[in-house]
Amino acid sequence: MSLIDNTQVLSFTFNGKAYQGYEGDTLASALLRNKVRVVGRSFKYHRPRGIMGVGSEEPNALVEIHGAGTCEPNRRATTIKLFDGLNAKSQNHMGPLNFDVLAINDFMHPFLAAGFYYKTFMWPKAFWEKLYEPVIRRAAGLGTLSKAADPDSYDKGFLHCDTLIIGAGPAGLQTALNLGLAGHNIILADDDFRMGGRLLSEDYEINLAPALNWVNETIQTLESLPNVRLMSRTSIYGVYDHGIYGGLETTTDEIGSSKPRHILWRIYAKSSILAAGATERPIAFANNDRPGVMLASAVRSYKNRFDIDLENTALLTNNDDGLQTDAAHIFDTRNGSYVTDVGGRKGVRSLTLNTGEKIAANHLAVSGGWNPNVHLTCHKRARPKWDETLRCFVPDPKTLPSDMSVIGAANGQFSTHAAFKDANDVTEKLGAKPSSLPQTEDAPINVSAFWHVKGKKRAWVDFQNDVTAKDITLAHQEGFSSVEHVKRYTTLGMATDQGRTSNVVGLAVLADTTGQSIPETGTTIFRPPYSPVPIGAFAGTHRGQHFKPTRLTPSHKYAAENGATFIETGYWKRSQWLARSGEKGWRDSVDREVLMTRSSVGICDVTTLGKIDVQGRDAGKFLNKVYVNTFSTLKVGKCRYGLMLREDGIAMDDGTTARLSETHFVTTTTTAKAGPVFRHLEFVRQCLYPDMDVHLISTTDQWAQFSVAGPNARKLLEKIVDPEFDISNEAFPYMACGELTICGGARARLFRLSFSGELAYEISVPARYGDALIREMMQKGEAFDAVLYGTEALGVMRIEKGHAAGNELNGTTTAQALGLGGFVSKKKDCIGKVLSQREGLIAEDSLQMVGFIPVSSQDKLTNGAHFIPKGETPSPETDHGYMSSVAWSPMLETYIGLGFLKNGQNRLGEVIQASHLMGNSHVDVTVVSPHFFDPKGERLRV
Amino acid sequence: MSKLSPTLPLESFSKHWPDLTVEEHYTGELISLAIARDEESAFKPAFKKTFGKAAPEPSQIIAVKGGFAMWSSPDQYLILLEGENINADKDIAKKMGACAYATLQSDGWASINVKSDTSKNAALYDVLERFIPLNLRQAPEGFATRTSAHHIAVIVIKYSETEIQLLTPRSSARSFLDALIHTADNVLS
Repeated sequence: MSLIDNTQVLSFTFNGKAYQGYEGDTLASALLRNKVRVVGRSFKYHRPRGIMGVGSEEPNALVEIHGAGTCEPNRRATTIKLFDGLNAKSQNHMGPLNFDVLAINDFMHPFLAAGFYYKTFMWPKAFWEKLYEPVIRRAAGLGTLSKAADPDSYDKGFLHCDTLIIGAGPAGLQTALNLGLAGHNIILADDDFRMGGRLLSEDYEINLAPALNWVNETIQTLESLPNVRLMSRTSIYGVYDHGIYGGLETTTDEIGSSKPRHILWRIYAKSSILAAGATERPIAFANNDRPGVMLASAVRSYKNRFDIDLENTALLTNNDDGLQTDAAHIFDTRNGSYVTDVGGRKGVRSLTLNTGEKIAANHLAVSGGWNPNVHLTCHKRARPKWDETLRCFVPDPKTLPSDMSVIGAANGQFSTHAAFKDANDVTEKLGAKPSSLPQTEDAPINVSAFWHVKGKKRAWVDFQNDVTAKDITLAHQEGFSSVEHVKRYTTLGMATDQGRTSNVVGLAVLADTTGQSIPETGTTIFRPPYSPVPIGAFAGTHRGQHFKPTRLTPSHKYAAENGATFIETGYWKRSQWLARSGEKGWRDSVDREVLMTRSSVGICDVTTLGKIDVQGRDAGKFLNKVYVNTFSTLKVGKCRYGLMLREDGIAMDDGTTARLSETHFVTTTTTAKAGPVFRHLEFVRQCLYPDMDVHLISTTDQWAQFSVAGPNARKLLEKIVDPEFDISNEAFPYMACGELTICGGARARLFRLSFSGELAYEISVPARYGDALIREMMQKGEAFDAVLYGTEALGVMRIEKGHAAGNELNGTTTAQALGLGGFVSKKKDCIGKVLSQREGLIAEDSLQMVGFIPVSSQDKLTNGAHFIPKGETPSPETDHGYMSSVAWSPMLETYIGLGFLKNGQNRLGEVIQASHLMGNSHVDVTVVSPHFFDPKGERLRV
Repeated sequence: MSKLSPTLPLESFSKHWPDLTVEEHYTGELISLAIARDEESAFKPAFKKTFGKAAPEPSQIIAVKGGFAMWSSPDQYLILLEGENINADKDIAKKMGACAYATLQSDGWASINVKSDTSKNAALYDVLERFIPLNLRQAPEGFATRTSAHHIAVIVIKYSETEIQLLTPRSSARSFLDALIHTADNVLS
């Protein structure tokens, strides 16, 4: 019944040595086929380790796969599908695998018991990070990362089904067949590359024919059904709320293949059926970790599925299932016969029996009973219960998630007949008609409670973490009696196998030590992931250029053509400055942009500002609630500056709002707060004032918007705006707004607003015209030497004018602190008004925004500097505030800064020290008005 | 006639695989239509008079006079009108009267059509199930909803078994398209 295709030879290397295997092999089976016994070294003691299992339960055979200049560590050889050219290496050893220098640890084991590092390396304290920890990490552990870039790609996907069936053994296949034929949309997932579960490994018959025939026929039927999706090599690693399951599909083990190596599926299922089978467990006895000591079920798999005869095999079992294993010697604990010790450091050579007799053997198949794979039931807090007959934890229907059923061996139904019956029962439960029950074996398992052999030597419980029965006893002696504490103290049940083979044996040892029963001792709860998931798979396609979205403004292309350096502002890319030839650095460009704007006209793309359409009969009333000042009285065709508070009275955002009609306002937000403000407004609309007639819609992307600023701004716009629209100062004064047409009929909106302090407008057009408009304005602006300016020049000009921006609206400042206390209407209520009047926020010595200039014009100001009274030493007690924004002003030819100073408005003229401790900069500054340039605002009203 | 030439957000992008085409598609005008509070009774006949049919149900897009209408959120619809009319929002607002508010949205979105070139539509859904968190294979024709893909907002419209339209915000449309193409290459190349 072998499933190996020995006509297809596959070449591979292990530790540099060439071997051959066959199609259908795993790396583990191919190594065993080539009689490679030692495949790795143990976690702490560096003991030689061989292959123990056959699937994801494998604790020992962890290897690195190499390829494309990198490697992937900690891969279980039992789950790697052999491919031609596979290059695998063992891990966690110093020197060759067979002569590991660190094997000396094994001889030092009396000093290296569980938690030894908690008690040693205490002195000198400083040595821990620099010496002890690196040495321990080097000497113990799993594989290491190559630190090379990951050459592989990963993908994500979303699947939907009526029922997700987890596991394609007899129970899973039978259920899939039933539900599939009934027309249910189902997904059948299995982590093996071949479906069939234990039927692939046992020599059972179904309907008087080899079980494999039934498996093949069933899969063939399922493949023909359009409502069935078969997903092999897909591990369901997590169960989450709302019927969501995480699935990891492995498309290839080869590193550097052109296709995504893993696909992380988010599966939405109305219900799930866990048919994940069971895992055989070992028995703890002295030196039970020798290469050649294997699980009995694995021995049968290698024989039946992979056609590998493991020579001179003995069997140690405490149950009937183990007796199915072909063995030269059988030791059944129920007959008082068992193994006490194993001889042969790099491979089993002899077995010592409880009678004292020593016999020769090369392999020992061990069966300590079976543990249903209940892990996924626990992800939604189900608690398995102990079954005294089966000697294992089984799912407790009382605690199972309501949308999950457990069948087959995962449900403690260990015979194939019982699995089929479970499958048919669950089919009926889901409202479908089951197919006839296949005839097959129905052998009881008859397991006895034989967990470990007490003795002086070490008996391994958790092979992957080198946890012995003695370690568990020691943990108890040291006061760690709770199973959760024992797990953390000893590391029992951690790492890639998540204790599949060790947990119950560990519990049994702990129960024996504490004198309690196993159910009284309890069990640890399982959390996702059930099996390892590469971090790359979680990232999926979100890497490199796809890491996060990028938002581009309508003038992006034009700006790029004109030498723009872009800066990320949230997801946006904005022009920071636009260099011209001959300019030596960014300051040259920024100074030029400021000077040209203030002397003639400059254009800046301000599309990134959030734009929200507010429409409705109650739109004005609504805005009254969210802004500190009044908007219901704003006349149609006018704009008004607004400040918005959070509920706690702290400034949230600011912007201008224009009234286009009685029921239509357009409000703007800062770039950074566009999303949060929209969310806030929707909360206010839907939850606080649901009775208002008001609708909100983001139009940020709809309109391309440009600021046109400078003494020649109007002259330039007069060449753009269609002649029937009068934009003279008289007809279109400061803070006017209106809808008009430009360039021969294109729809536009014009707002007379100024952030720069100049005569300025913001013109917006439907984004389809954004690129064309910037080109048209710059072409028409040639007559005025118009300049395109970026965010740096924008920042310089707003600091010169003393306008607050993100640095000042930083989540700690109030209207009063920003010098906007007078904006807060006394005639109406608004969100945040009450809490903004808290004593600490309005106290005389609270922080207030003021301006700063250095006493010496040679001095440079630094953002983030703290203000310390002259002669005082910087400390939290002497801290009087901080600098929030600084810039070099090309107009004033000095550095200028904005910042927050205690009682700042009453300290104008005072000289204070601006200290930046990280930069060791201490500059004397004079406290001045924040309005550095054109304080009376004469330029913007002309 | 304005001197300003309109540009599409993705500059008329198109890419073809053996059984799949991804291309930017000019949709005409998109208008958001919101029902004024307490005006449902006036809205229904006004909608029917303007568009020739009753308003669509949630998750539905229907053909109406001049184009299509889809439900976009409670008390709100998105109207997709054929042809270019930069004042379409004003025209609709005028027809609907005080019972609804109209907002021009055409320029806020990029439209991408994903379609199978033949009646075999496996490639279409094989690609989209790696990108869109919806059950599009089993969604009926005329299904329309909002969701996000690659952390970017998207409106998904299933016109037929072989044609799906994706509307995504204009500013991030290039990132959206790049991610979609990357996924399609992963699946089909």
